Amino acid sequence: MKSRIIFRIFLFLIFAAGIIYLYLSFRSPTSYIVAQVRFPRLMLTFICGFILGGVGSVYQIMLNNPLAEPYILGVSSGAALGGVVAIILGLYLLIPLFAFIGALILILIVWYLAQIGGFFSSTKLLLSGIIAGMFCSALISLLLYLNQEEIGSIIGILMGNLGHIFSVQEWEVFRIIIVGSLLLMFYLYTLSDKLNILTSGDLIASSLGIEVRQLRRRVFIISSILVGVTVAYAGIIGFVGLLVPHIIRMLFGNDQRKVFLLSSFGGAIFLVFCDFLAMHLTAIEIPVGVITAFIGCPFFIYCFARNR
Amino acid sequence: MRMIVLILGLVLLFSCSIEQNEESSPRYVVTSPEVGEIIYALQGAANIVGVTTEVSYPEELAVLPKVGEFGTVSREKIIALRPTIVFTSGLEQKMLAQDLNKAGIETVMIYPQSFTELLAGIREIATHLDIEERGIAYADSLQQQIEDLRYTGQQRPRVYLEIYGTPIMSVSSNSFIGEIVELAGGNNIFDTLPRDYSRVRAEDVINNDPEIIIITYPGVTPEGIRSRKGWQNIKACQEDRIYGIEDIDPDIILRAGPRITDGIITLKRLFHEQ
Repeated sequence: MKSRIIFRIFLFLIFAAGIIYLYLSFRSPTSYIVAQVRFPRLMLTFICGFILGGVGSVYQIMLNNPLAEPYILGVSSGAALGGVVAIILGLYLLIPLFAFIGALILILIVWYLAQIGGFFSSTKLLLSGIIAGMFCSALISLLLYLNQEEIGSIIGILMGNLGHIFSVQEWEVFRIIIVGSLLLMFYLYTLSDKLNILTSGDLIASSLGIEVRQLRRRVFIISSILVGVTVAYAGIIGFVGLLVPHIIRMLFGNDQRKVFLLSSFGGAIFLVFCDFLAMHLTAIEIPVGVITAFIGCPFFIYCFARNR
Repeated sequence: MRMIVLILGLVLLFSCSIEQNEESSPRYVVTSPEVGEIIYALQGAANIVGVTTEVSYPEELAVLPKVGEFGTVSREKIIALRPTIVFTSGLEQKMLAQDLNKAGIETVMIYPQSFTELLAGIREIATHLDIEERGIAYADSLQQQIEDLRYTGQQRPRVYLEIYGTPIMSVSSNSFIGEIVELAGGNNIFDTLPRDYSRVRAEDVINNDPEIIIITYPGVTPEGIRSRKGWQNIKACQEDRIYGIEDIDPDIILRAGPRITDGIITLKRLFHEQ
């Protein structure tokens, strides 16, 4: 069993190395292009997939719901709304900033809603997140309807667009964001043991000395900030955060420490692979969210059928 | 007695409908900016009774009653204007035309995608305005003007035309605006694209090293283009030949209308002034 898992990880590493090499070298670009255009895009894609995969695995446990995914608590809609507002105001360069502010405002609203009535529970968190998200989606639809000339940018946010063009200064900022995100992801990783216990139920977890509510709050805030970063730069990319953790659990078991690490790296490589296809499969780039679903769904069904 | 009232009523109704039919001067509603400009150039603008907010040129048309925006035209407002013909465009307005046809209103779709289609569009509009001769003469003279303006020199700078920024989009030489670039003596770096208006890759822009960059949308400055990662080595960025909407009114190159001549003259000046 152990050797089988090591073999699977070995296969994964070979695939990862191959796809990253292909991503950077396809159609033999000059080294200038690799350094200035392809590498930044690779970093953006990698960090988005890394966050979405890892946060997805955490949310499924934290909300005790296999359908949970990084966007379920509405943060993505808040971020998307912020981005759409920036587009409509004509402030294209500030889209990431507006999106991130949108995400933060939504986190505060959901946070507040989930505490109404004096206590904080996962059901209330889920409902507040979904309601706030729906409200933002309705606002986005309205703005989309009233500003049809901006449909291209808005679709980029709603369907995922990893082709964000960085300015030189923006790239400096983004490098700091990458480091910050990795630190937050590491913190989420350190919570894995507690989350493992949480899978046996809130009651058992509390009896073992875990502050369940405080844990949920922490996970919610940190994950939401991370998801806000991805939507700010790359829009909403579905399926990564939902499918990758499930596939990892089917292949490698349920230990959250392992699942978190593998989901993060798996999500990153999966997204790099999908973005590579999105760029080169057809003459015109396809929104990456379409590819993640096209590849993810059949693969999910395959794993599901094998594991039954 | 009842019978007489009924007959009187019917006669009255009939005479009313005759009165309506007698109102003879045509009434046009125009929902596409380029068609507005063409009708104006054909001296038929006096009969236009309604426009969309995008119909902004010339001033005489911009002040007319509005029937909505390009993508959200109010059917009710059009019907209320009792038009004889509604001139529509393509894209979202195909649905509009269908709806109006169901309501028994005649529509004419004019959506020129190239210079040849513009000339054909002018003739078609003139036919519907009952000034066919004038239309043919005007189309011929426009064609002659364009031929006279066509750049014939050898210096054809490489041009990158950006019509949208997130994601970046450009045009092929099959598009109307691409044709204008070629007529003005520019060498479009994306002359062949899978679609007339298409998303492009940043690395292809950098590889093709354009000498001139034209931006046709608001919200971005030449500094913004220059500061894009990896774009500093592009010749247009180094030689400061990035032109935005302050340098060229996007309407004169994006609209397939009579101001195509202004578009060619302005682009020629930008391409060959140095």
